[in-house]
Parts: sequence; structure tokens; C-alpha cells
Amino acid sequence: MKERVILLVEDNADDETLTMRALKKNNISNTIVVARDGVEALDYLFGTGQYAERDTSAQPELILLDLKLPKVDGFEVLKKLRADERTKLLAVVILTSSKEQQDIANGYGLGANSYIRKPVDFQQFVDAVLQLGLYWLVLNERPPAYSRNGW
Amino acid sequence: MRGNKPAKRNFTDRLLWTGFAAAIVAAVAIAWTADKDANEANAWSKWITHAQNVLGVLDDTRGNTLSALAAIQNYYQSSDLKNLDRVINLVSKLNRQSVVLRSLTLDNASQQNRLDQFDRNARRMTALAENIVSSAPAFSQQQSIKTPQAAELSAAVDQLLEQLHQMNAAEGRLLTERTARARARSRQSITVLGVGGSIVIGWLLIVGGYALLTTRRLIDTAKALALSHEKLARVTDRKRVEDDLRALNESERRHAAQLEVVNKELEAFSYSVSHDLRAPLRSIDGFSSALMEDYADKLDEQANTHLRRIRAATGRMAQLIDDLLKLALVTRSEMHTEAVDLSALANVILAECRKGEPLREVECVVQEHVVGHGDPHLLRSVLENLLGNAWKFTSKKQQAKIEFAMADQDGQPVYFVRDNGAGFDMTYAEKLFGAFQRLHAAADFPGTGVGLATVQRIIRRHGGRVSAQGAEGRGATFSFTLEVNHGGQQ
Repeated sequence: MKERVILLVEDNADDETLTMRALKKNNISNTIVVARDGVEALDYLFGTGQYAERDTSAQPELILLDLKLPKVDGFEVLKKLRADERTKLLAVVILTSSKEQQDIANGYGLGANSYIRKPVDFQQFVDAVLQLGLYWLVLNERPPAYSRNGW
Repeated sequence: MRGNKPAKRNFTDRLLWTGFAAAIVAAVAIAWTADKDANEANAWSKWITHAQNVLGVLDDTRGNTLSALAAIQNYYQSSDLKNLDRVINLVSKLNRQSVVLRSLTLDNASQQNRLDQFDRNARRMTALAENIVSSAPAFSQQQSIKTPQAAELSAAVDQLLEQLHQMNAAEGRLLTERTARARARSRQSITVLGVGGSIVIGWLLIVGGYALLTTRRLIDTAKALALSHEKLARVTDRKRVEDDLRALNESERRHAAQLEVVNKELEAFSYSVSHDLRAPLRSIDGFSSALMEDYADKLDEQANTHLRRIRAATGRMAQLIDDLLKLALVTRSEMHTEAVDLSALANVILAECRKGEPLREVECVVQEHVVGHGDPHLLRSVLENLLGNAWKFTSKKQQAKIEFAMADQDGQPVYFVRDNGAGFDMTYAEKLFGAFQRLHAAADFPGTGVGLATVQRIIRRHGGRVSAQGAEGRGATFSFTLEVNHGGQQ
């Protein structure tokens, strides 16, 4: 049985730590793969670069995508993965600092499934992570293609 | 085209000058010819006078001759010798007249010839008469003397008359001839003057007309030139105005471009603040929280208090950032004006407040069907701030009352939010609407001091006014107007 991976695309080490903590606090036991910029995220998804050996038939259960990223930003990642047959149906939750109207509009425009602003209050953040974990990992029914890939 | 006109004008000029010169020359020639003819006519008229004089003298001579003839006939009838004395006397007169005639007709050989014969006859007559008188003194005066000498005398008188007649005829012919010549000269002079003058006048008329025409054409050309010059000036003026307008547009465009740049910068700034300023706060709060949780057994109460304060501060700062971004958004967001049901909006907002603090007892009075024209999002922000403030500042009141209504002020709708809460000192009313200005301690009433600044900005963007009345401990009333024109085109 394949691992149920969560791909966390996050360049800020503090945010990475706190997100991991929040996930752990909510007993979300999925494997967390961290990509620290857009290029790393795309390499993971398409089995290129440092992930050239990876079996791309297995794709993450959920992608937590930050927007402000070095090299290739979150919007670019989203655009590319939605354009590719292997990744176009992946669940992508934008998890970022801002709630700028343009960001929200762009995110949904490019096919994000959800848009969540990280609250400053850590407790609120933990609650938010709990909810999105519940929703996307438990409640939500995945598209058929993923079922065929098994898990 | 350009080369053609001066050549044409040169030709015209030459034609004009030639015309004038010809007219002047012709006029001089005509004058000269006419003068010559007139002089000639004058000369002829002298000769006419001369001929007439000659004829006059001839007439007198004939008279004397006829008198002589009459005397001879008298002598025949009366044989009175006194008649012959009279004949002698008359012939001497004839001789004197012959001298006059001779001097008058010196130029005329035939007349001189006739005068010679005349003189000869006259002399014979004198001789015959004297002969008769001298040969017959003895005869009685009554004696008829039809002598051959007397007959000869009579014949001589006839010859005299005949010669006078011839001279008269010749002189008459001369007179006729001279008169005709003088008349011809005069006629010629008149003809020359008339025809020549007419020609000159006609020529002058033509040339003058042409000159006039040319002048008029010149004037027309000058006028057209002046007109086109004026037009050119107008065009130049218009061009200058257009240039000015273009410059104005250019400056306006530059201004707009600058504004756009400033807006873009503000947007970028807001974007950056929104993303980057919050991230460290999350870290501070998150790790403070981690400390409190993971090291609870190692931290005393004091440490926990410090960490709680850190977390509270990050929370306030996060709120401040959000409020600032909202304030910035008021200025840079696009406005879409429509009719907004403010009553419904107020009810929704108050319901939210109530949901946040369900235990509070607040009497909310919202006038029904109050409609305002403006941007729905911005007007919502206004009511959120005003009603939120009212909710907040009545928190210490036992029987809190919040009111939203519309009143008519000078025909203009005024919307107001009234509460019976903490109120404020009117002395500081001015400060209420400044960003970060607070009249209450954060401990009493939390807040960032951005809300009313946001309200003022929004109302100003709608072309309205906002004002506050209140007294410390006795509540506050915030009233605002939207643009007078209900269309509210912004």
C-alpha cells in the first residue's frame, strides 16, 4: 500500500516547523514531504531533478501550497500541475499569509481547491489545520483516478 | 505655376506701360498735326480776308466805274462838259484804286495783267475826256456831241467794267478756292483731333480699364493674401491652442501615470505588508505557544505571563496590520455605486456582534428601508466600524441601546448611528477620525484607532461628510451623508 503523502510547499523554516507541529497536534500521521521552493515542488510532482528516481504514479494526497516562494512561486506551480495529466486532479490547498483579493482570485482562477490564510494566533492555526485535515483527508471523496492508483 | 505668374505680370506691366507711352505719343502727334492744320487754316483764312479785301476794293472800283459810265451817259444826254470833268475825276480815283489793287494782287500775275489793261483803258479814258473837254469849250453847253471820241470813251468804260468783272471773277474764284482749302484744313484738323483723340481716348480707356482690372485683380489678390494670412494666423493660433491642449493632456497623462505608479507602489507595499509582516508574527506566536506547551513544567507563572503578553502583542499587531491594509484598500479599491439597503446591512452586522457576545443585553433599533447610494463593500465597512464601535463602547452599560436611522437635513438624507455608551469629550472630537487616534485606553476598550479613519475615508470617497457628537459617559452619535446627488456617480 502506497504512502499517503502530504506535500508541504513552504520556504519559511519557522512556518514549516509550526505547520508540522500543528499537523502532529492534530494526529495527522501522513508522510509529510517538504519542498522549499517551487522548483523542488515541481521536481517532486514530475519526477525530475532530485526526485528523478521517484515513481510519479504515486501522487500526494494533499498539497499545502504557499504562494510567496523563491525561484518559482506558488501560482506557477499550481499552473504547471494543473496543466499536466498526472497531477491535474490533485487536491491543492493554498496556505499562505495574505488574504489579498488578487491572490485569492488568482489562486481559484488557476484551479486551487481551497484558500486558507494562516492565522497569526497559533491556536487558531492548529484549529485550521485540524479542519482542513479532516476535510481533505477524511471527509472529501477523491477523484476516481486516484482510487485506481490504489490506496 | 510659381514661375509662370511673375512672367505674366511682367508682360502685363510691359503692356500697360507700352499702352500709356503709345497714348502719350499719339496725343502729341495729334496735337501737333491739329496745330499744323489749324495754322494752315488760319493762314488760309488770312488769304480769304485778303481776297475779300480785294473784292471790296474791286467793288468800290466798279462803283466808281459805274459812276463814270453814268457821267458819260449824262454827258450824252446833256452834253454838259461838267460830266466829263466828273469822268476825269472818277478815273483818277480809279487810278488810285488800281494802285491799291496792284499792291494787293502783287502775288497774282493774271490780275496784274488785267490791272495793266485796266490802267491803260483808264489812261485812254482820261485822255479822251480831256480831249473832248479841251476841244469843245467853244460849244454851247447844250450842244450834242456825239463825237467818235465820246463813243470811244463809252467803249473804254465798257472795257473797264469788263476788266473789273474779270478781276472780280478771278478774285471770287480765289476766294472760293481759298475758303474750300481753309475749310478742308479745318475739317482735317477736326478729323485728326476727333479720330485721333477718339483713338487715344479709346486706347486710354482700354489701357486704363486693363490697368483698373489689373489693379482690382491685384487688390483681390492682396485681399486673398490678407485673408489667407489671417487664416494662417488663425490656423497658427488654433495650432498653438492644440499644442497647449496637447501639453495639458500630456501633463494630465503624466500625472495619471504618476498616480498609477504611486497606486502600484501602494499595492506592492500592501501586498508585501500583507505577506511578509505577518509571517514573523506567526513565528513569535507559534513558538511562544510551543514554549508554553512544551515547557509548562519548567516555566513559572511569571514566565507564562510574559509569554501570554508576547502572544497578546502579536495578536494586536496582526489586527493593526489587517486594519491598515483595510484602510489602504479603501483608497485603492475600485468603487461600484449602487443602491444599498443599509437597514438590512445594519441588522446583519448587529446580529454578528450579538453572536460574538451572546450574553450581552443590547437594545438595537434599526429604522426600516433606509437606502443609501454607494459602494456596497465600502458602506458595509462604514457600518461595521460605526456599529462595531457602538457595540464596543456600550459594553460597560447595563441597558445598552444602539440605534441606526436616517434623518432629513435640508433635503439631504443624513444617516446616523447612536449609542448610549462611553461617549467622548467633544474637545477631542477632531482627533476621532485621525488614524491611530484613540480617546480611550486600550485596557477599557480594545482597538487600533483605524476604524473611524477608515470611515472618514470611505465617506469622503463618496463625496459625503461624517461628524460626531457626544459627551463623556452619555453616548455618542456618528452621522454621515453620501453624495447629494443620489446617482452617486463616482
